[in-house]
Amino acid sequence: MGSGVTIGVGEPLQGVIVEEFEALYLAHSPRVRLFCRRRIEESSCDDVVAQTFLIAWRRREDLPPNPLPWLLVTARQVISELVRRSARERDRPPPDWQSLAAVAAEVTATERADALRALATLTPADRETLLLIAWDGLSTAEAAQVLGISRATFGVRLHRARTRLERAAAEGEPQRSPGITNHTRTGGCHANL
Amino acid sequence: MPTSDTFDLLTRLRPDPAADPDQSAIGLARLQREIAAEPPPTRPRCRGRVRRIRRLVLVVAVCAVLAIPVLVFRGSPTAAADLTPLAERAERQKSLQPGPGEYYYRRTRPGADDTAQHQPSGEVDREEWLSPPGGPQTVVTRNKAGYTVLWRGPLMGYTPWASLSTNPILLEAQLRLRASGSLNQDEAVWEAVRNALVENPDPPHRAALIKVLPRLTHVTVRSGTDDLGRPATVISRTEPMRGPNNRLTIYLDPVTGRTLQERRFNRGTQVNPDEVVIGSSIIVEERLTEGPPTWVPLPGLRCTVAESDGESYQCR
Repeated sequence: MGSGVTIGVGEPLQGVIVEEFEALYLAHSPRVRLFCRRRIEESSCDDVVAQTFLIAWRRREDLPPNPLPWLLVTARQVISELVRRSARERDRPPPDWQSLAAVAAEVTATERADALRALATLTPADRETLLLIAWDGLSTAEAAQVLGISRATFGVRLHRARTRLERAAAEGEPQRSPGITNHTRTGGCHANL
Repeated sequence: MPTSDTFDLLTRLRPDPAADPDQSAIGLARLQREIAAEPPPTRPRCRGRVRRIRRLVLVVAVCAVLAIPVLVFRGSPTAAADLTPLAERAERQKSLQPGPGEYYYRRTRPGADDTAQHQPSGEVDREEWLSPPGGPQTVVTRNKAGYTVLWRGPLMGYTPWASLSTNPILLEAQLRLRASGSLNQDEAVWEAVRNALVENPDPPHRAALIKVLPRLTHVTVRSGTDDLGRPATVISRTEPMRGPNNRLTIYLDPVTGRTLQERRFNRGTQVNPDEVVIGSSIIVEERLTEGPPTWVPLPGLRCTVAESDGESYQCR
């Protein structure tokens, strides 16, 4: 990205830079949307995706060659801001992230349900650590970048989260710890107006 | 559970990120609109006369499109008749804007039929301290599980009411301009007004905001009471963009115009189309205070740093 071409009001959105950006949107917006749907209601994700790519457009000169981690970091910030400013939207139910899981031919329905159940017992932080790798397909370095932590710290978190996941799967019963989430902080109940 | 690695199994459940062509097309079209609406970057002055004329025509066209719903009254005359006296009373009220060293303090709790309060970790009480513009916001919540959660961070106001006009016509035009990318401008303006009303606007802005409400479509006004039995002017509007059954109701004090309660009704969630979800909050107290906000350490409670985007503690 970033040949230095500028597009202003009144000019048609054409040219190499726009085509490149549209290609970037088509390539990465589904992943950004999936990332968003794990965190907030699907109906809000249109706004999050649009805002994320609008920011990307403004910063198009600075986008890295592999922009997905950058986009997810941006989406995460957009979601945080959205949740904070719309804390009054406590009526929204938690996102149904389980429904995003694919139905794989080589995984039985029971295995799928057990795995998702085990995953659901983890704290949101543990769950996100695992899903950045398992579902978003990021490397540990990229996932660490998304969470804003060092690669070593992420490695430790991933190891612990995997351990807890396996333990939850083995025991088959909830082990939820009362960790703070955006939902409990701002939206679980009556939140601030 | 089989002995296979659950994490590897999860990897095989990776969602298919294949784009929905319709969704992508709609999203791309929206993005193009928003990019087109971006202010032009600083650049050398253009000397092309044709380009200047084209820009002028575009600006005039956009202004004309935005002006139509402002100039053509499409709201409810009845609602306007009900809300205009309320707005005039609100304008004469004492301001609760915090000065230096002061905080606007507000305490809220869930309404009688709030769905989330029945959850095991449902919130039961919330206190907020807002400092003067530019300062931080402090939020302390308590939930049914016995936890007290404290959060402190920058105030992320949704509607920058202070920079907007106190003339209702101009105010509506400004809010429509801010909502120009929305597919339903009236709903976006309604949401902006509703947010601004609970972001502690000063009396002139509160009055203007109230006067904007009846200019929007689908707004109804009646007299009633909030969940605490306080007399209220009850303003309601369907919100089709949020869902076919969504309705937001705001309860304003009939004397001061300040928000007493909000209630959002939604039938049909992503998980269960028949489920009814109600979010309801009551402001039980609001005032100016000089004391610093509650913060750790809290007597008798043990606090740990919580993972959050702001400075946050969880105490029990």
